[in-house]
Amino acid sequence: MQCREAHEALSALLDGEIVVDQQQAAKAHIASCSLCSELARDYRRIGENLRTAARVPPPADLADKIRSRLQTEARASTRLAGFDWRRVAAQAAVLVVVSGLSGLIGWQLSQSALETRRLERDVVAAHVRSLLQDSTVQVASSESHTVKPWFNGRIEFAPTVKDLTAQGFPLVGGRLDFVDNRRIAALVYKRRQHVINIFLWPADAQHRSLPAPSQLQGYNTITWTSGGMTYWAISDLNAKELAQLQALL
Amino acid sequence: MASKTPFEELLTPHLQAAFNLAYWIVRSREEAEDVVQDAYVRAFRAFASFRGVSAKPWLLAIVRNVAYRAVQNRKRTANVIFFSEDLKHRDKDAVSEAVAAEPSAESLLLAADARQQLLAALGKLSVDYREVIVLRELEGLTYNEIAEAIDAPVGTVMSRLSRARGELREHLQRQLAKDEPNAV
Repeated sequence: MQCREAHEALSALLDGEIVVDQQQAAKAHIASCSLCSELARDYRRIGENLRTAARVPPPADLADKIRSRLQTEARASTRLAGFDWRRVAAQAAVLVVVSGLSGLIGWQLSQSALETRRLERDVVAAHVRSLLQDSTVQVASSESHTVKPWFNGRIEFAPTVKDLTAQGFPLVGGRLDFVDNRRIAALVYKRRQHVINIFLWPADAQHRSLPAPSQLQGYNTITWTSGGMTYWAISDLNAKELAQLQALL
Repeated sequence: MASKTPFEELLTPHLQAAFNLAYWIVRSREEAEDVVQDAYVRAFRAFASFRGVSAKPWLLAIVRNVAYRAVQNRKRTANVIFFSEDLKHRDKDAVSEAVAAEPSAESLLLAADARQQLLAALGKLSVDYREVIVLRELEGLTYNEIAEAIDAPVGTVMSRLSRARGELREHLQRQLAKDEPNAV
């Protein structure tokens, strides 16, 4: 083994991470080379000094500050999770008493409509947030086989990623976002200068819906389910072209 | 007070490591404090989807991401003209700040000026090198854990550590030569 190879091996040897079949050669070289054995000595000494002297202790009250922020966070999320249900249920109870069967149907409709409104607000917020960043994507590529594997291990499902450059919707890339209190996949497409966010996550069991276009805060949205996934498309692009993209996905 | 949640049980032991990593990326105690708080809130939100074996590298990966974003934001908002000047001050401040921070009992074993030199040398490394040194030498993570924390292959961790150690040693030797011109 030569010095140059030995340098990397030396570092791994010190850390106990050297591959077994290199170990003998590395040890033999270091023992016979004064330069490398000096390096080994220095590295070890520097490591020891770093361990004793370079650690910067956190302020004493940091743990408490974090705990109180987490409590606020936990309260906020239970409120969010509990809010719609209880309130809608209470309203529905009144409605059922007053208008019987038609009220029950109305309740189911209003519940899913409320749910959709809430999601739509989440989706608009996520879209706007993405436009405020330097880049709308964390993985920038127009190739679906680059973007798709990027999601591996980052979310618990594998999103379908299509490059639609030929159809006039070039893929910009993907990122993670947070919608409906969960981590979801966001794919970004472009149509001319318009940014289109596609959000997707596994649909709740038995939930199926046909494409439903809507408009909020000047953004066009479409939501649908397909292949067990809930999709949301959002853009400042006109509704007709957005529907074209929906059909392609 | 309610008993500790699984989240707290799993992640409070790593508060020191989280703060230390954040500090060595952003180089300011106050900013590191914000970074760690944000990182814990993020970790808390993502905790339901945490399936890993070891919480430490998972948490440190989040801390690192938040810290990098903080550095980016700072760069973006910094006055372009005074930026490099500002950075110089920051580095100097950061080192003296770290030195001024209450030393642990162990660190008293190392003479104050030696400690100062060591911190300055570590501060001179690029952040890619600095973070692997911090994760390995200060936090004792395995190569696999470092790879997870910095989202890079193990081979990259190995070569980066090796080069980082070489550079750190050179910085220290250069300082030594400067301080004691007759010694070398």
